Amino acid sequence: MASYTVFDHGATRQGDARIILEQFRQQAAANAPEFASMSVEQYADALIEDAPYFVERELFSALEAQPFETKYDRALTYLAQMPSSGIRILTVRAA
Amino acid sequence: MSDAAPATHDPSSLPGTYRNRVFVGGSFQPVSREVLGVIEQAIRDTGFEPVLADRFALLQPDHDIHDVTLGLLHGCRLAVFDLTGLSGALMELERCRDYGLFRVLLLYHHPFGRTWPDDPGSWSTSAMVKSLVREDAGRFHVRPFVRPAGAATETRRFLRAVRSSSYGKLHSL
Repeated sequence: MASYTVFDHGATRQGDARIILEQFRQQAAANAPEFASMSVEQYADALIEDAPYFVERELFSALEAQPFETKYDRALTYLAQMPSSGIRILTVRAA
Repeated sequence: MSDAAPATHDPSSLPGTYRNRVFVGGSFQPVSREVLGVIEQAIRDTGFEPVLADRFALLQPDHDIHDVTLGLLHGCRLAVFDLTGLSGALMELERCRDYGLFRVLLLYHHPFGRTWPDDPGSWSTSAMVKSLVREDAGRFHVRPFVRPAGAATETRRFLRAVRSSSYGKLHSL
């Protein structure tokens, strides 16, 4: 499982994509109740479903064609490509 | 996902009425246009008439976009903007007071739903825009949305509030 270092509004987070996404889900749940009842798996699905609305079209097409180890890796990458997220992937270390 | 909207309307003959037209502004780049489409449908669902600039045929687009779009804005008393990113919509926003728009909803995407001004950094726009909104808080209403459907929910809520206001009752909206 790949390990990420993620930039989050001036701070960094480390861990695999599932762990980082769960932290983001909890953060989102504080303001958006629909996320409170979601599992991290459902949260990843929601990010993947919404990405075409927030990731520049050609970039999204290129990302969509890439293989990812898990849906969590895909969802975290999509989130990091949403300009409004403020999230950026700094490093990825393969397992 | 939809492609560019067909430009079927004549800018000299607007749909709806002055009272029920809702101008929709924001970036018309393909990805942002998707969110504008969500807002457009929500306006229609609520019984108002959406006005999106790319629905209107222009004789010379390179020359006409600015003037015709501001003409469209002037023909509306309500507006909804997606101000997630910087775009030409800022020129329209500046004109909302001049043109006497009654209420304007400003939406921005934030994946964690952080709300400006409680979280000052949550809305990535210029201090110029933020000060305009603060100074005219009765006209401009700012709301974040987390998912595309949230933009529709906020739009419907905004228009229903307008409808149930004394202004809405006065004009039978």
